[in-house]
Amino acid sequence: MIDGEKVSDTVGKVNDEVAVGEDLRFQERWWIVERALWVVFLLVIAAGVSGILGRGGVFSRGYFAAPDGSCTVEYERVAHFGTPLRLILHFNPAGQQQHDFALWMGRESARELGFQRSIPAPANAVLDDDGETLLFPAAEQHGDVVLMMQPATFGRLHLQLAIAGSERADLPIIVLP
Amino acid sequence: MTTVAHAAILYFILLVVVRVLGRRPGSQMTPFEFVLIFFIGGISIQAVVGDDHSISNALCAIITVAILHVAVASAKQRIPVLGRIIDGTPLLLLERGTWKRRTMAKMRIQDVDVMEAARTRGISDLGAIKYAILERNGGISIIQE
Repeated sequence: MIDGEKVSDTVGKVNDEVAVGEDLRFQERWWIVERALWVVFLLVIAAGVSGILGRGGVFSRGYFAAPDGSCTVEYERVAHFGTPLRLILHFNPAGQQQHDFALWMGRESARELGFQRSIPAPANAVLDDDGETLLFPAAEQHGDVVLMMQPATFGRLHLQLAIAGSERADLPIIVLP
Repeated sequence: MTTVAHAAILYFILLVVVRVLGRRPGSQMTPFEFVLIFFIGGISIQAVVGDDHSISNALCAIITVAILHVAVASAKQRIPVLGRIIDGTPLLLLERGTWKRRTMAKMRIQDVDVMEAARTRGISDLGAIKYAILERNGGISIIQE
């Protein structure tokens, strides 16, 4: 653009009388793009409803059971960055728990997933080389125990866990930005 | 850093979503469209600022959006096709007594919308309209016979 440039017909005219600048060829292409974008939007909604994007759908929850059936861990397969994430320990009401219950969590996964606290608090916590064991007394094993976390990073993270003497499990959790 | 990244990502997502929604939200807003704009705005704010409600965080987000807005406006000026992608082009809705029905359907514009624009020009009859043009900002321009 130059100062003093003469005005010319740079905007296309309709019937040689009204300068509109309509570009139907471009518009037709745009409508095709628009249709594709609506398909993408619908896929996002479907992913949200099914739980692929987290919380609420059938795909959002994962379970990990203790070998003796005394407890099941319910966790979120898909979590969100900077958003509270809950891991729930369901104790089997049929079995009267006689012994303290131990839950081991890998240090690296506790750090990445932003482990904050346990509700109720464990009676004891024991640190080892690569993790922490939370001990819950037998008397407290009639309700659920909720472990609160808040991921401080995103990507495919791993929750390293062992419950009631089970092998250490490596549960994948996808944290979305 | 998170606020700046979130603000930038959401700016472009909103640009695409609002563009696909059509032109009506930008102009001729009815209460129906007000609901949409406020709802989208409210949801976006939460994702941008997160749990940090400080003024410094809000300032970061506002400045990020302002810079992006100027950058996009400048890019539109230099690259005409980008302007067409972001803003679209004006479209004829009515030409010398003939409706452009396909365009109207695609743009979700009804006869009453055209008539509403005509009335603001003091025109009381569709027959008195020579051209009706859907502008890039969502307004409808009327050219009389």
